[in-house]
Amino acid sequence: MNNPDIVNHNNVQSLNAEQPLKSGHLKSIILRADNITLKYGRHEVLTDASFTVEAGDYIGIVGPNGSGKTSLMKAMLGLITPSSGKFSYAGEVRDNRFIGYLPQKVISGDPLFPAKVREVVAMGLLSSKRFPKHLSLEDYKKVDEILSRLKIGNLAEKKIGNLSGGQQQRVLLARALVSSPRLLILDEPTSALDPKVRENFYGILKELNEQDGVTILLVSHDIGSIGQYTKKMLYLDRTVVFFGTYEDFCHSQDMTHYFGPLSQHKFCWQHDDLQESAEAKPTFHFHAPHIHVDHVHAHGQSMDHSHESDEGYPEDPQAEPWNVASKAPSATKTGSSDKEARL
Amino acid sequence: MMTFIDSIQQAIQYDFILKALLVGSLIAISASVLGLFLVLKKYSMIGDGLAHVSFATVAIALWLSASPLVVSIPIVILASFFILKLSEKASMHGDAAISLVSSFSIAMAVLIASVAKGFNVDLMSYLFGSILVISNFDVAISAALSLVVIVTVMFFYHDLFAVTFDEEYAQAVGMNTKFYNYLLAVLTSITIALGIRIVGTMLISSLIVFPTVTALQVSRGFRMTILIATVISVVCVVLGVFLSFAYNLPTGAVIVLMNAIAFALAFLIKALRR
Repeated sequence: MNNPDIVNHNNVQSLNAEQPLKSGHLKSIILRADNITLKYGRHEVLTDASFTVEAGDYIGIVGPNGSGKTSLMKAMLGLITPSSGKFSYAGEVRDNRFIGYLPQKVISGDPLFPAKVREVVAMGLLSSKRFPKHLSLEDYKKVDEILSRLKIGNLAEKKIGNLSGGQQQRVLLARALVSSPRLLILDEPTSALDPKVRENFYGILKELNEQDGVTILLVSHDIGSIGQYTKKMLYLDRTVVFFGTYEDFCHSQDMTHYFGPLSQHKFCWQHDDLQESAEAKPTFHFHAPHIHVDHVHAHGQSMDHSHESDEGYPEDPQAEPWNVASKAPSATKTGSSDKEARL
Repeated sequence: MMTFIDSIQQAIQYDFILKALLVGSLIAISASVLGLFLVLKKYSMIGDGLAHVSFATVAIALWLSASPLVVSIPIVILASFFILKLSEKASMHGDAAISLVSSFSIAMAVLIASVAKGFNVDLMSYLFGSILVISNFDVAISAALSLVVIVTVMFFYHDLFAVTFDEEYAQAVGMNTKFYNYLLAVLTSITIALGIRIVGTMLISSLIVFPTVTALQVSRGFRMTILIATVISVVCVVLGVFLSFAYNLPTGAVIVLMNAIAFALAFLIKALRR
């Protein structure tokens, strides 16, 4: 295995993959991000982010709006190219059919789009095909299997535009899963779902992660609640603020500094009282009254940030936070005088 | 009714009617297999824009006494690339890019026609189409190229579907979405350049949009929509050619009229189903 197949795809190199993935086995690194910096034009949206993803991980990528999490995800998928740094994938993972992707928007904005659920899900098999692409009966059997596994077999012949948001989301999850990917990347998958459907959706992900050993990266702005589902946290705020397990998060003094003890306690979901209240109230949100002063504006740049007031964002740090190079120390003081302080 | 059947029998005695039926049907099929992708990608107007470019290229060809098809196809393909490039640059929306190219082309056609006097009548036949003057050479090229368009769409069907459904997803799973956008542009250009001979510059885009929108009223699946659109389009062309012969009406206009009736029927069926 000294000769890994090099896949050059937007600064992507391949790693030696240890062995096929099974939960409980020796953990192998399937993705390593080294010093990733992402820019849109002159604006740096993410600076010097490094982390590793091991087989079997279930990582919540969280952070406020504009923190660079969606950009990071797009870069991982090869949709944008890092201005510096590189992603290294285990060889067979980079081969696209081993990455399942669930985009944020549910349907391409067009309820008239004439596509049956079966046609949409079959799309997930195309990346493994060569020209001329042809879907066999066996392929459609796979499609039907994944549909019935996600308990939407009855929708196979329905037009996708006629389904509810939760049903559409499941159809797209089926599309992401039909090629049996080893790595699943999800972008805000539950933002359009109501609490009951959301619980159900996380249940499916848990099963995939624990029983099938699928590695999951889940982008979310809902830091207040995803701690109860994911195993690790990657907290971004235009750079990596924290990466590790929730247990580490809870015991980190730096994070106490950064988030304040109460928020830290609530985000890490390591405590019985919270677990119980989560079961009783699955949509638990952390309602910290806060004024989220945006350092982007404090820098005088213009990026489109919309602030949501009660999504459980951290209060602004009292002190210079750990590992946050781009943060302007004066941000809390100078603040934002006009339109961005919409609270 | 009897007279209409009589005139059909009479019509198929004529060579030019048979040619018109053959070329018309093939172009109808090409246009309607492309139509769904273009309509869903919000490129309905590209047919119109490229038809105007074709019109300008016909003026150039007549001026140079060259074969309109040979001159048209490459220039129209280039124009379609130009439209894509213009709208790729965020400074311009797709519809704005189309109307720029479109009006510029008409201006060029009018200028050329006025500078090189003497072929205005020929040029006018390309404005509204004519089935009387199709040469054997035109028939051969039209048949061959429509087959190329149809077969290419069949080969790339799944990719085109994925790119039309969600371009970002297609890109994320490793598809070269740019290639497919340009492929669609090339195929559309060919179809338009072939089609203006029969239905005319002003009406060719209706062959792309009408059957597709009609099919969308009654279908659920993607493949089924294309199939229904194709059938409707061919029926409309055949009926249109016969009716225009029987009642001495302009062919292109009658074809579009048939399409409008088909749409009204489909709309009615959809309304009654509710």
